[in-house]
Amino acid sequence: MLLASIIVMKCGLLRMKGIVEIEFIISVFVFITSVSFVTLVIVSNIPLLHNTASGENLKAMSYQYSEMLVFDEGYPTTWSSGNFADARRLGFSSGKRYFVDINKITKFNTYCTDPFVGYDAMKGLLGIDNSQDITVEAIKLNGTALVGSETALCEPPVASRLRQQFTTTRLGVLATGEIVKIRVTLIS
Amino acid sequence: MTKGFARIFEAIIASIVIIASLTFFFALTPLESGWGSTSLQIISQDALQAAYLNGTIERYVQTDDKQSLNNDIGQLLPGTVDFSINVRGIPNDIIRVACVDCSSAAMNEFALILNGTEFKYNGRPISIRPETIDLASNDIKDGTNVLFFFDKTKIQTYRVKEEAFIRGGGSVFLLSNLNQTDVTGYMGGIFNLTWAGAASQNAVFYGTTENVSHFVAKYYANITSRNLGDIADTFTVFGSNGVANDRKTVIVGVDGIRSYVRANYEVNRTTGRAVWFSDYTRSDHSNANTAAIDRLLKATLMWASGESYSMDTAKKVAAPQHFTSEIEIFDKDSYIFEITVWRIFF
Repeated sequence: MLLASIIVMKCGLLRMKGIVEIEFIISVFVFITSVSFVTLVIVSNIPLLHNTASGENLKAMSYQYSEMLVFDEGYPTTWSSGNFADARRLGFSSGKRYFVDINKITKFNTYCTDPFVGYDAMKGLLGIDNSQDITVEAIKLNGTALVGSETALCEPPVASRLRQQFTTTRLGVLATGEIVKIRVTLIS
Repeated sequence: MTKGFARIFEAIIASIVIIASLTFFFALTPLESGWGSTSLQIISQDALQAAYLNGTIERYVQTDDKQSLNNDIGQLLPGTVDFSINVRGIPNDIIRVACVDCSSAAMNEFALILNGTEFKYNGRPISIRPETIDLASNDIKDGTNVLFFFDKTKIQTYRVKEEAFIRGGGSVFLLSNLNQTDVTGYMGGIFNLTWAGAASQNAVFYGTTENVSHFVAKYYANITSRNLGDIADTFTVFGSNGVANDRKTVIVGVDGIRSYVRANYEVNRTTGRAVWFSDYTRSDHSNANTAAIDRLLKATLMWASGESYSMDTAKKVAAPQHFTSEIEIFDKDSYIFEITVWRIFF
Protein backbone atom coordinates (compact mmCIF):
# COMPACT_ATOMS: atom_id res chain seq x y z
CA MET A 1 0.00 0.00 0.00
CA LEU A 2 2.78 2.32 0.99
CA LEU A 3 4.69 1.39 -2.14
CA ALA A 4 1.63 2.12 -4.29
CA SER A 5 1.13 5.57 -2.76
CA ILE A 6 4.84 6.42 -3.33
CA ILE A 7 4.53 5.45 -7.01
CA VAL A 8 1.41 7.63 -7.39
CA MET A 9 3.22 10.60 -5.82
CA LYS A 10 6.26 10.11 -8.07
CA CYS A 11 4.03 10.01 -11.14
CA GLY A 12 2.39 13.22 -10.01
CA LEU A 13 5.79 14.91 -9.57
CA LEU A 14 6.90 13.73 -12.99
CA ARG A 15 3.78 15.21 -14.51
CA MET A 16 4.53 18.55 -12.85
CA LYS A 17 8.02 18.68 -14.50
CA GLY A 18 6.31 18.83 -17.89
CA ILE A 19 4.75 22.19 -17.09
CA VAL A 20 6.75 24.99 -18.85
CA GLU A 21 7.35 28.00 -16.68
CA ILE A 22 7.02 31.59 -17.92
CA GLU A 23 10.75 32.29 -17.28
CA PHE A 24 11.65 29.46 -19.62
CA ILE A 25 9.38 30.82 -22.31
CA ILE A 26 10.91 34.28 -21.98
CA SER A 27 14.47 32.99 -22.04
CA VAL A 28 13.76 30.97 -25.18
CA PHE A 29 12.19 34.05 -26.72
CA VAL A 30 15.22 36.18 -25.81
CA PHE A 31 17.59 33.55 -27.20
CA ILE A 32 15.71 33.23 -30.48
CA THR A 33 15.42 37.00 -30.81
CA SER A 34 19.15 37.47 -30.20
CA VAL A 35 20.17 34.82 -32.69
CA SER A 36 17.73 36.17 -35.27
CA PHE A 37 19.03 39.67 -34.73
CA VAL A 38 22.66 38.65 -35.20
CA THR A 39 21.78 36.63 -38.28
CA LEU A 40 19.84 39.51 -39.78
CA VAL A 41 22.64 41.98 -39.12
CA ILE A 42 25.20 39.71 -40.78
CA VAL A 43 22.98 38.89 -43.72
CA SER A 44 22.02 42.50 -44.33
CA ASN A 45 25.68 43.54 -44.26
CA ILE A 46 26.91 40.90 -46.69
CA PRO A 47 26.19 42.96 -49.86
CA LEU A 48 27.83 46.01 -48.30
CA LEU A 49 30.92 44.06 -47.24
CA HIS A 50 31.09 42.33 -50.57
CA ASN A 51 30.95 45.67 -52.32
CA THR A 52 33.69 47.05 -50.09
CA ALA A 53 35.86 43.98 -50.66
CA SER A 54 35.34 44.23 -54.38
CA GLY A 55 36.29 47.92 -54.26
CA GLU A 56 39.47 47.14 -52.33
CA ASN A 57 40.31 44.40 -54.78
CA LEU A 58 39.80 46.86 -57.62
CA LYS A 59 42.19 49.35 -56.03
CA ALA A 60 44.84 46.69 -55.53
CA MET A 61 44.45 45.42 -59.10
CA SER A 62 44.60 48.94 -60.50
CA TYR A 63 47.84 49.56 -58.61
CA GLN A 64 49.29 46.23 -59.78
CA TYR A 65 48.49 46.99 -63.42
CA SER A 66 49.99 50.47 -63.13
CA GLU A 67 53.17 48.93 -61.67
CA MET A 68 53.32 46.35 -64.41
CA LEU A 69 52.78 48.80 -67.25
CA VAL A 70 55.22 51.46 -66.00
CA PHE A 71 58.01 49.28 -64.61
CA ASP A 72 57.91 46.16 -66.76
CA GLU A 73 59.39 45.96 -70.24
CA GLY A 74 56.99 43.21 -71.28
CA TYR A 75 58.01 39.92 -72.85
CA PRO A 76 59.74 39.75 -75.20
CA THR A 77 61.26 43.11 -74.30
CA THR A 78 60.99 44.11 -77.96
CA TRP A 79 57.29 43.22 -78.18
CA SER A 80 56.50 46.55 -79.79
CA SER A 81 58.57 45.76 -82.86
CA GLY A 82 57.04 42.31 -83.48
CA ASN A 83 53.56 40.96 -84.11
CA PHE A 84 50.83 40.95 -81.52
CA ALA A 85 50.81 37.14 -81.64
CA ASP A 86 54.43 37.08 -80.43
CA ALA A 87 53.77 39.34 -77.43
CA ARG A 88 53.42 37.41 -74.20
CA ARG A 89 53.32 40.29 -71.75
CA LEU A 90 52.85 44.04 -72.19
CA GLY A 91 54.82 46.77 -70.45
CA PHE A 92 55.95 50.31 -71.29
CA SER A 93 59.32 50.39 -69.52
CA SER A 94 62.41 51.01 -71.61
CA GLY A 95 64.48 49.01 -69.14
CA LYS A 96 65.43 51.70 -66.66
CA ARG A 97 63.12 52.32 -63.73
CA TYR A 98 60.61 55.13 -64.41
CA PHE A 99 61.70 55.47 -68.04
CA VAL A 100 58.94 54.58 -70.49
CA ASP A 101 59.32 53.86 -74.18
CA ILE A 102 57.20 56.01 -76.49
CA ASN A 103 57.26 53.26 -79.15
CA LYS A 104 55.73 50.75 -76.75
CA ILE A 105 53.04 53.24 -75.73
CA THR A 106 52.24 53.97 -79.37
CA LYS A 107 52.15 50.26 -80.24
CA PHE A 108 49.87 49.55 -77.29
CA ASN A 109 47.46 52.12 -78.69
CA THR A 110 47.81 50.73 -82.23
CA TYR A 111 47.06 47.16 -81.13
CA CYS A 112 44.02 48.26 -79.16
CA THR A 113 42.50 50.16 -82.07
CA ASP A 114 43.51 47.52 -84.62
CA PRO A 115 40.36 45.70 -85.86
CA PHE A 116 42.36 42.45 -86.03
CA VAL A 117 43.53 42.70 -82.41
CA GLY A 118 41.23 45.05 -80.54
CA TYR A 119 40.34 45.70 -76.94
CA ASP A 120 39.26 42.18 -76.03
CA ALA A 121 42.52 40.61 -77.18
CA MET A 122 44.50 43.25 -75.27
CA LYS A 123 42.41 42.63 -72.20
CA GLY A 124 43.07 38.94 -72.51
CA LEU A 125 46.81 39.50 -72.81
CA LEU A 126 46.77 41.71 -69.75
CA GLY A 127 45.00 38.94 -67.87
CA ILE A 128 41.90 40.96 -67.03
CA ASP A 129 38.94 38.93 -65.87
CA ASN A 130 35.82 38.89 -68.08
CA SER A 131 33.84 40.67 -65.40
CA GLN A 132 36.27 43.59 -65.39
CA ASP A 133 37.41 46.24 -67.84
CA ILE A 134 40.49 48.42 -68.08
CA THR A 135 41.25 51.86 -69.45
CA VAL A 136 44.87 52.92 -69.96
CA GLU A 137 45.65 56.56 -70.68
CA ALA A 138 48.88 58.41 -71.45
CA ILE A 139 48.71 62.14 -70.84
CA LYS A 140 51.22 64.95 -71.14
CA LEU A 141 51.57 67.28 -68.17
CA ASN A 142 49.58 69.96 -70.03
CA GLY A 143 46.64 67.54 -70.17
CA THR A 144 46.85 66.69 -73.88
CA ALA A 145 47.14 63.20 -75.32
CA LEU A 146 50.61 61.72 -75.62
CA VAL A 147 49.63 59.55 -78.60
CA GLY A 148 47.00 60.56 -81.17
CA SER A 149 44.14 62.82 -80.26
CA GLU A 150 42.61 60.81 -77.41
CA THR A 151 44.23 60.45 -74.02
CA ALA A 152 43.02 56.84 -73.79
CA LEU A 153 45.43 54.33 -75.30
CA CYS A 154 43.04 51.49 -74.76
CA GLU A 155 39.50 51.49 -73.39
CA PRO A 156 36.39 49.32 -73.53
CA PRO A 157 34.09 50.00 -76.50
CA VAL A 158 31.21 50.81 -74.16
CA ALA A 159 31.94 53.11 -71.28
CA SER A 160 29.94 52.82 -68.10
CA ARG A 161 29.80 55.39 -65.38
CA LEU A 162 27.67 53.24 -63.11
CA ARG A 163 30.15 50.45 -62.52
CA GLN A 164 32.59 50.65 -59.67
CA GLN A 165 36.00 51.85 -60.83
CA PHE A 166 39.33 53.00 -59.45
CA THR A 167 42.06 55.01 -61.14
CA THR A 168 45.77 54.91 -60.33
CA THR A 169 47.94 57.63 -61.81
CA ARG A 170 51.65 56.99 -62.26
CA LEU A 171 54.42 59.10 -63.71
CA GLY A 172 56.98 58.03 -66.26
CA VAL A 173 59.81 59.77 -68.05
CA LEU A 174 60.39 59.57 -71.79
CA ALA A 175 63.88 59.36 -73.29
CA THR A 176 63.51 63.06 -74.17
CA GLY A 177 63.12 63.90 -70.48
CA GLU A 178 59.43 64.69 -70.83
CA ILE A 179 57.28 63.50 -67.93
CA VAL A 180 54.03 61.70 -68.80
CA LYS A 181 51.13 60.52 -66.69
CA ILE A 182 50.08 56.91 -67.14
CA ARG A 183 46.56 56.50 -65.83
CA VAL A 184 45.15 53.03 -65.25
CA THR A 185 41.43 52.68 -64.50
CA LEU A 186 40.08 49.30 -63.55
CA ILE A 187 36.31 48.86 -63.87
CA SER A 188 34.53 46.06 -62.03
CA MET B 1 2.89 36.36 -7.81
CA THR B 2 4.83 39.61 -7.23
CA LYS B 3 8.10 37.64 -7.18
CA GLY B 4 7.20 35.95 -10.48
CA PHE B 5 6.42 39.31 -12.08
CA ALA B 6 9.74 40.73 -10.90
CA ARG B 7 11.61 37.83 -12.51
CA ILE B 8 9.75 38.33 -15.79
CA PHE B 9 10.52 42.02 -15.68
CA GLU B 10 14.17 41.22 -14.91
CA ALA B 11 14.32 38.85 -17.88
CA ILE B 12 12.90 41.50 -20.22
CA ILE B 13 15.47 44.07 -19.03
CA ALA B 14 18.26 41.50 -19.51
CA SER B 15 17.07 40.76 -23.04
CA ILE B 16 17.07 44.47 -23.90
CA VAL B 17 20.62 44.81 -22.55
CA ILE B 18 21.78 41.76 -24.54
CA ILE B 19 20.26 43.01 -27.80
CA ALA B 20 21.58 46.52 -27.24
CA SER B 21 25.08 45.17 -26.63
CA LEU B 22 24.84 43.02 -29.76
CA THR B 23 24.25 46.10 -31.87
CA PHE B 24 27.55 47.41 -30.52
CA PHE B 25 29.53 44.23 -31.18
CA PHE B 26 27.93 43.47 -34.51
CA ALA B 27 28.12 46.93 -35.99
CA LEU B 28 29.91 45.67 -39.08
CA THR B 29 31.91 48.70 -40.11
CA PRO B 30 34.74 47.72 -42.47
CA LEU B 31 38.14 49.00 -41.41
CA GLU B 32 39.73 51.79 -43.42
CA SER B 33 41.98 50.18 -46.01
CA GLY B 34 44.36 53.12 -46.32
CA TRP B 35 44.31 53.20 -50.13
CA GLY B 36 43.59 56.93 -50.10
CA SER B 37 46.83 57.73 -48.29
CA THR B 38 48.74 55.01 -50.14
CA SER B 39 47.88 56.44 -53.54
CA LEU B 40 49.03 59.86 -52.34
CA GLN B 41 52.34 58.43 -51.18
CA ILE B 42 52.78 56.58 -54.48
CA ILE B 43 52.18 59.68 -56.57
CA SER B 44 54.49 61.82 -54.42
CA GLN B 45 57.28 59.23 -54.72
CA ASP B 46 56.67 59.06 -58.48
CA ALA B 47 56.80 62.86 -58.68
CA LEU B 48 60.17 62.94 -56.91
CA GLN B 49 61.65 60.23 -59.11
CA ALA B 50 60.33 61.74 -62.33
CA ALA B 51 61.47 65.26 -61.40
CA TYR B 52 64.91 63.92 -60.51
CA LEU B 53 65.29 61.82 -63.64
CA ASN B 54 64.35 64.62 -66.01
CA GLY B 55 66.70 67.04 -64.24
CA THR B 56 64.07 69.38 -62.80
CA ILE B 57 65.27 69.11 -59.22
CA GLU B 58 68.98 69.69 -59.88
CA ARG B 59 68.23 72.57 -62.24
CA TYR B 60 66.02 74.51 -59.88
CA VAL B 61 68.00 73.77 -56.72
CA GLN B 62 71.15 74.88 -58.54
CA THR B 63 69.57 78.15 -59.66
CA ASP B 64 67.51 78.50 -56.47
CA ASP B 65 64.41 78.99 -58.66
CA LYS B 66 61.70 78.25 -56.12
CA GLN B 67 58.80 79.45 -58.24
CA SER B 68 59.57 77.21 -61.23
CA LEU B 69 60.30 74.24 -58.97
CA ASN B 70 56.96 74.64 -57.20
CA ASN B 71 55.13 75.03 -60.51
CA ASP B 72 56.70 71.88 -61.96
CA ILE B 73 56.18 69.74 -58.86
CA GLY B 74 52.62 71.07 -58.60
CA GLN B 75 51.90 69.79 -62.11
CA LEU B 76 52.99 66.29 -61.13
CA LEU B 77 50.73 66.08 -58.08
CA PRO B 78 46.93 65.94 -57.98
CA GLY B 79 45.18 69.30 -57.75
CA THR B 80 43.64 68.43 -54.38
CA VAL B 81 46.92 68.26 -52.52
CA ASP B 82 49.33 70.85 -51.23
CA PHE B 83 53.02 70.26 -50.64
CA SER B 84 56.12 71.65 -49.03
CA ILE B 85 59.69 71.21 -50.27
CA ASN B 86 62.80 70.97 -48.13
CA VAL B 87 66.43 70.47 -49.10
CA ARG B 88 68.89 68.91 -46.65
CA GLY B 89 72.65 68.34 -46.82
CA ILE B 90 73.87 71.48 -48.59
CA PRO B 91 74.38 75.01 -47.24
CA ASN B 92 71.24 77.12 -47.03
CA ASP B 93 70.50 79.50 -49.87
CA ILE B 94 70.03 82.33 -47.37
CA ILE B 95 71.95 82.21 -44.09
CA ARG B 96 70.42 84.62 -41.62
CA VAL B 97 72.91 85.45 -38.88
CA ALA B 98 71.89 87.36 -35.77
CA CYS B 99 74.96 88.91 -34.18
CA VAL B 100 74.12 89.09 -30.48
CA ASP B 101 74.50 92.54 -28.89
CA CYS B 102 76.94 93.52 -31.64
CA SER B 103 77.95 97.17 -31.89
CA SER B 104 78.35 98.80 -35.29
CA ALA B 105 82.12 98.28 -34.93
CA ALA B 106 81.53 94.56 -34.36
CA MET B 107 79.22 94.43 -37.38
CA ASN B 108 81.91 96.11 -39.48
CA GLU B 109 84.40 93.58 -38.23
CA PHE B 110 81.98 90.77 -39.10
CA ALA B 111 81.62 92.18 -42.61
CA LEU B 112 85.41 92.27 -42.98
CA ILE B 113 85.62 88.64 -41.88
CA LEU B 114 82.95 87.55 -44.36
CA ASN B 115 84.52 89.61 -47.17
CA GLY B 116 81.34 89.55 -49.24
CA THR B 117 77.99 88.17 -48.27
CA GLU B 118 76.72 87.21 -51.73
CA PHE B 119 78.71 84.45 -53.35
CA LYS B 120 78.37 81.17 -55.19
CA TYR B 121 78.95 77.70 -53.86
CA ASN B 122 79.21 75.07 -56.61
CA GLY B 123 77.37 77.53 -58.84
CA ARG B 124 74.52 77.98 -56.33
CA PRO B 125 73.86 81.51 -55.12
CA ILE B 126 74.36 81.84 -51.35
CA SER B 127 73.55 84.90 -49.34
CA ILE B 128 74.75 85.52 -45.78
CA ARG B 129 72.58 88.14 -44.12
CA PRO B 130 74.03 89.37 -40.84
CA GLU B 131 72.19 91.76 -38.58
CA THR B 132 72.60 92.79 -35.00
CA ILE B 133 70.14 91.78 -32.31
CA ASP B 134 69.69 93.10 -28.80
CA LEU B 135 68.71 89.83 -27.22
CA ALA B 136 67.91 91.40 -23.84
CA SER B 137 64.90 93.22 -25.24
CA ASN B 138 64.09 91.31 -28.44
CA ASP B 139 63.16 87.81 -29.39
CA ILE B 140 65.07 85.96 -32.07
CA LYS B 141 63.48 86.67 -35.45
CA ASP B 142 61.69 83.86 -37.22
CA GLY B 143 63.92 82.42 -39.93
CA THR B 144 67.20 83.14 -38.16
CA ASN B 145 69.69 80.32 -38.73
CA VAL B 146 72.67 81.29 -36.59
CA LEU B 147 73.15 83.22 -33.35
CA PHE B 148 76.65 84.67 -33.57
CA PHE B 149 78.56 85.71 -30.43
CA PHE B 150 81.77 87.70 -30.25
CA ASP B 151 81.39 87.95 -26.48
CA LYS B 152 81.53 84.63 -24.64
CA THR B 153 79.89 86.05 -21.51
CA LYS B 154 76.65 86.55 -23.45
CA ILE B 155 76.37 82.80 -23.97
CA GLN B 156 75.57 82.37 -20.27
CA THR B 157 73.49 85.57 -20.11
CA TYR B 158 71.03 84.54 -22.81
CA ARG B 159 71.00 80.82 -22.14
CA VAL B 160 67.18 80.53 -21.98
CA LYS B 161 66.56 82.12 -25.40
CA GLU B 162 69.59 80.38 -26.81
CA GLU B 163 68.48 76.91 -25.67
CA ALA B 164 64.99 77.47 -27.06
CA PHE B 165 66.58 78.53 -30.35
CA ILE B 166 68.70 75.37 -30.45
CA ARG B 167 65.65 73.22 -29.68
CA GLY B 168 64.02 74.75 -32.76
CA GLY B 169 66.95 73.63 -34.92
CA GLY B 170 69.01 76.84 -34.77
CA SER B 171 72.77 77.09 -34.41
CA VAL B 172 74.99 78.97 -32.00
CA PHE B 173 78.39 80.25 -33.15
CA LEU B 174 80.98 81.60 -30.70
CA LEU B 175 84.13 83.36 -31.90
CA SER B 176 86.23 83.71 -28.77
CA ASN B 177 89.19 82.33 -26.88
CA LEU B 178 88.24 80.17 -23.90
CA ASN B 179 89.91 79.43 -20.60
CA GLN B 180 89.60 76.40 -18.33
CA THR B 181 86.77 77.95 -16.31
CA ASP B 182 84.72 78.52 -19.48
CA VAL B 183 85.27 75.00 -20.71
CA THR B 184 84.35 73.35 -17.44
CA GLY B 185 81.30 75.62 -17.06
CA TYR B 186 78.09 76.13 -19.05
CA MET B 187 79.90 76.74 -22.33
CA GLY B 188 81.66 73.41 -22.09
CA GLY B 189 78.24 71.80 -21.95
CA ILE B 190 76.62 73.55 -24.89
CA PHE B 191 79.69 73.23 -27.13
CA ASN B 192 80.57 69.84 -25.61
CA LEU B 193 84.19 70.80 -24.82
CA THR B 194 86.86 69.36 -22.54
CA TRP B 195 90.08 71.02 -21.40
CA ALA B 196 93.56 69.90 -22.48
CA GLY B 197 95.79 72.82 -21.38
CA ALA B 198 96.24 76.07 -23.30
CA ALA B 199 98.74 76.63 -26.10
CA SER B 200 98.94 78.55 -29.37
CA GLN B 201 100.14 76.63 -32.37
CA ASN B 202 99.68 76.08 -36.08
CA ALA B 203 96.57 74.14 -36.98
CA VAL B 204 95.22 72.06 -39.85
CA PHE B 205 91.94 70.37 -40.83
CA TYR B 206 91.12 67.43 -38.57
CA GLY B 207 90.43 65.44 -41.73
CA THR B 208 88.95 66.09 -45.12
CA THR B 209 87.17 62.78 -45.48
CA GLU B 210 85.01 62.46 -42.39
CA ASN B 211 82.73 64.18 -39.90
CA VAL B 212 82.08 67.91 -39.76
CA SER B 213 85.68 68.61 -40.73
CA HIS B 214 84.98 67.08 -44.14
CA PHE B 215 81.99 69.35 -44.80
CA VAL B 216 83.76 72.52 -43.66
CA ALA B 217 86.84 71.57 -45.71
CA LYS B 218 84.59 70.99 -48.74
CA TYR B 219 82.98 74.43 -48.38
CA TYR B 220 86.38 76.02 -47.70
CA ALA B 221 87.84 74.40 -50.81
CA ASN B 222 84.96 75.63 -52.94
CA ILE B 223 85.04 79.24 -51.76
CA THR B 224 88.81 79.28 -52.30
CA SER B 225 88.28 77.86 -55.82
CA ARG B 226 90.10 74.62 -55.15
CA ASN B 227 89.30 70.93 -54.95
CA LEU B 228 88.90 69.18 -51.63
CA GLY B 229 91.87 66.94 -52.38
CA ASP B 230 94.14 69.98 -52.74
CA ILE B 231 93.41 71.35 -49.28
CA ALA B 232 96.50 71.09 -47.09
CA ASP B 233 96.39 74.58 -45.56
CA THR B 234 98.03 75.40 -42.26
CA PHE B 235 96.37 78.10 -40.16
CA THR B 236 98.97 80.04 -38.26
CA VAL B 237 97.31 82.86 -36.32
CA PHE B 238 94.89 81.20 -33.92
CA GLY B 239 94.90 82.42 -30.32
CA SER B 240 96.00 80.37 -27.33
CA ASN B 241 93.37 77.79 -26.38
CA GLY B 242 93.20 74.44 -24.63
CA VAL B 243 90.10 72.68 -25.94
CA ALA B 244 90.79 68.98 -26.32
CA ASN B 245 90.75 67.36 -29.75
CA ASP B 246 88.18 64.70 -30.58
CA ARG B 247 86.16 63.48 -33.57
CA LYS B 248 83.99 66.61 -33.61
CA THR B 249 87.04 68.78 -34.15
CA VAL B 250 87.16 70.77 -37.36
CA ILE B 251 90.61 72.33 -36.98
CA VAL B 252 93.25 70.61 -34.87
CA GLY B 253 96.64 71.78 -33.63
CA VAL B 254 99.56 70.17 -35.45
CA ASP B 255 100.40 68.12 -32.35
CA GLY B 256 96.91 66.60 -32.47
CA ILE B 257 96.08 67.53 -28.85
CA ARG B 258 94.00 70.71 -29.12
CA SER B 259 91.06 71.86 -31.20
CA TYR B 260 90.89 75.37 -32.59
CA VAL B 261 87.51 74.98 -34.22
CA ARG B 262 85.06 72.46 -32.88
CA ALA B 263 81.51 71.68 -33.92
CA ASN B 264 78.77 70.13 -31.88
CA TYR B 265 75.67 68.70 -33.50
CA GLU B 266 72.43 67.29 -32.13
CA VAL B 267 73.00 69.62 -29.18
CA ASN B 268 70.99 68.41 -26.17
CA ARG B 269 69.37 65.78 -28.44
CA THR B 270 67.92 68.38 -30.79
CA THR B 271 68.69 69.17 -34.42
CA GLY B 272 70.51 72.30 -33.24
CA ARG B 273 74.20 72.88 -33.85
CA ALA B 274 76.91 74.75 -31.98
CA VAL B 275 80.32 75.89 -33.15
CA TRP B 276 83.15 77.17 -31.07
CA PHE B 277 85.74 79.02 -33.17
CA SER B 278 89.00 80.08 -31.56
CA ASP B 279 89.71 83.78 -31.91
CA TYR B 280 92.65 84.74 -34.11
CA THR B 281 94.73 87.72 -35.09
CA ARG B 282 92.22 89.98 -36.81
CA SER B 283 94.10 93.27 -36.94
CA ASP B 284 94.60 93.14 -40.69
CA HIS B 285 92.16 91.20 -42.87
CA SER B 286 94.34 91.71 -45.92
CA ASN B 287 97.04 89.59 -44.27
CA ALA B 288 97.10 86.21 -46.00
CA ASN B 289 97.14 84.21 -42.74
CA THR B 290 94.19 86.15 -41.33
CA ALA B 291 92.31 85.98 -44.63
CA ALA B 292 92.69 82.18 -44.66
CA ILE B 293 90.99 81.92 -41.27
CA ASP B 294 88.36 84.46 -42.37
CA ARG B 295 87.46 82.11 -45.22
CA LEU B 296 87.52 79.18 -42.82
CA LEU B 297 85.03 81.01 -40.59
CA LYS B 298 82.81 81.64 -43.59
CA ALA B 299 82.93 77.95 -44.52
CA THR B 300 82.14 76.98 -40.91
CA LEU B 301 79.21 79.39 -40.93
CA MET B 302 77.89 77.59 -44.03
CA TRP B 303 77.88 74.33 -42.04
CA ALA B 304 76.33 76.10 -39.04
CA SER B 305 73.46 77.26 -41.27
CA GLY B 306 71.93 73.88 -40.50
CA GLU B 307 72.23 72.66 -44.11
CA SER B 308 68.47 72.44 -44.34
CA TYR B 309 66.19 74.95 -46.01
CA SER B 310 62.74 75.29 -47.46
CA MET B 311 62.11 75.86 -51.16
CA ASP B 312 58.48 76.89 -50.69
CA THR B 313 57.33 80.13 -52.23
CA ALA B 314 55.24 80.93 -49.17
CA LYS B 315 55.32 79.73 -45.59
CA LYS B 316 53.24 76.56 -45.32
CA VAL B 317 52.00 74.46 -42.43
CA ALA B 318 51.24 70.84 -43.24
CA ALA B 319 47.85 69.35 -42.39
CA PRO B 320 47.78 67.00 -39.37
CA GLN B 321 47.85 63.99 -41.67
CA HIS B 322 50.73 64.36 -44.12
CA PHE B 323 53.34 62.19 -45.77
CA THR B 324 56.97 62.89 -46.43
CA SER B 325 58.91 61.32 -49.28
CA GLU B 326 62.54 61.98 -50.01
CA ILE B 327 65.09 61.24 -52.66
CA GLU B 328 68.87 61.50 -52.61
CA ILE B 329 70.13 63.70 -55.40
CA PHE B 330 73.60 63.10 -56.77
CA ASP B 331 74.75 66.40 -58.18
CA LYS B 332 77.98 68.32 -57.47
CA ASP B 333 77.10 67.64 -53.84
CA SER B 334 74.77 64.85 -52.83
CA TYR B 335 71.77 66.08 -50.89
CA ILE B 336 68.29 65.05 -49.79
CA PHE B 337 65.28 66.52 -51.55
CA GLU B 338 62.22 66.10 -49.39
CA ILE B 339 58.58 66.68 -50.20
CA THR B 340 55.73 66.70 -47.69
CA VAL B 341 52.27 66.29 -49.16
CA TRP B 342 48.82 66.57 -47.63
CA ARG B 343 45.25 66.73 -48.83
CA ILE B 344 43.75 70.21 -48.84
CA PHE B 345 40.32 68.83 -47.92
CA PHE B 346 40.54 66.49 -44.96
